[in-house]
Amino acid sequence: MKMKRYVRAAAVGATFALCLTTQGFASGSGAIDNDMLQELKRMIEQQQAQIDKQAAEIAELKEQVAGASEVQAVEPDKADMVETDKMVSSRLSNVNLSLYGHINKAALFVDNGDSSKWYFVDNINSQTRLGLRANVETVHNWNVGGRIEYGIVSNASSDVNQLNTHDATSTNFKLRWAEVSFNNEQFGKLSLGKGDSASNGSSEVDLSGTTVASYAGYSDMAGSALWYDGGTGVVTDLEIGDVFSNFDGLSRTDRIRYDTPSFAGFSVAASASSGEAYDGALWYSRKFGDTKIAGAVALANPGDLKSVDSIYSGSISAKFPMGFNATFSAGGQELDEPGRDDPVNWWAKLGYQVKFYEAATTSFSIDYGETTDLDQNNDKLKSWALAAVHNIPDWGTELYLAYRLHQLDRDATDFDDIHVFWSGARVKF
Amino acid sequence: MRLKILIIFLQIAVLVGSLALVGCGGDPWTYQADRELKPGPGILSGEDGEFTVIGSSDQNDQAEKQTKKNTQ
Repeated sequence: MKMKRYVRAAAVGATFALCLTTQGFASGSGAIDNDMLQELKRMIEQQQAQIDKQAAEIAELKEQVAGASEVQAVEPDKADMVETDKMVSSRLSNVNLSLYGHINKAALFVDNGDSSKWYFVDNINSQTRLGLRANVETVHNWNVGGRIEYGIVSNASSDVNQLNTHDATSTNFKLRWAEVSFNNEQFGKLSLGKGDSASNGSSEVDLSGTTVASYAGYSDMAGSALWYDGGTGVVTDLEIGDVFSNFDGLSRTDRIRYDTPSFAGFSVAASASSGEAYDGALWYSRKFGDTKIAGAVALANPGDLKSVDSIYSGSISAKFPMGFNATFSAGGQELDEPGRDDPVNWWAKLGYQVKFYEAATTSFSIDYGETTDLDQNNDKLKSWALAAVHNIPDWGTELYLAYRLHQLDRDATDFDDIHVFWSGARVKF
Repeated sequence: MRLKILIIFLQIAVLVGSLALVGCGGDPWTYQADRELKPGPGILSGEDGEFTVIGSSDQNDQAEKQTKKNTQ
């Protein structure tokens, strides 16, 4: 009996022990699976992150490859464009050739007391032009250059008048420059051909910014306009240009010219022109802080070019920091005619420059001048003008307008005043 | 009348001459008559103000500067 009791107890204990053991085994295996699962999960997440990263890299590479293909597809076109742009080329690396020019057109109104008319003109203050400038650097800092420039003018403002209202300019293409030059910073510049004589521009130095509308050579505005004699009621054949000159040297001539290098702002120029004409000039330009000063004086013997003994001319202009500027010009010539007084001209201008907005500068000026004894003794031409120029550099464009009054005093004659107004645009291309 | 011309001429000469006395001061600057080709950009040529047919615009600028330096 006891034995049976022992066996039954042992069986129950064994079963219990087995159950416990089995449960213990079962409990230990679950802990291991969780760790593994966590590890596997971590690894999978890590691999997923790597896959995502690689996928992003592949996508990026694809984009780069696609971009490169597009560039390759575009490059030939660009190359073609470059080849197309270089229609003219040189095997030399130090050669330069540039094309330049501008167009300057205006509407001009002239009233001489007898009649008034509108004209559409080329502004001869700065006529329409087209030019080529070439330069090549050679040995020892010598530059060999050349310049060809044509004025391309129709209905010049200085040609139109009451009788000549359209197609007033017979020569539409006029050679202004055709020269070769040899230039060295140390030795100066030698020029040969058609171009500025040494004295040209010496009475026209002007820093006002309004020269396209009004400057010392004001017969360029309407120089052929005819004076009307109010006393007799006759339109005469006397033009504004007959009684006005600023005696600006010898203009552009066929010449040989030498310019010294600049020293402290000064340089000397001398030229000998065809027609046994000779001239010399002293030029100056210098900046003192924000103040700019420029000037010139010149003496010319016009030889066969003009029937005068000699021509004197000079001008000076200063531009001050606040935009104010002042200009003075004078000149004269000695006549080789008994009984004739030598004609003289003087002219002065005051100006002001202001920026109403950042992209443009507006210049205003008022000027007055007198020329005496040019056409005959005791003649006195008086003229004053108001001018405004709106300069828009980014467009290469100036818009301008000016009014000028001409009054001529002559013995025993009563000329009416000539009123002139113009407005136009100069566009640099 | 010759005297009148001479006086005016001398006045300008004195003005310009007096600049010589202060000429050693100041900074170099080159006057450009804006009745010629106005300095600055062109509407088509852009900042250079000229079309460069051959060469680089920089070279043109340098050459032009030297030319102007020696002419005025």
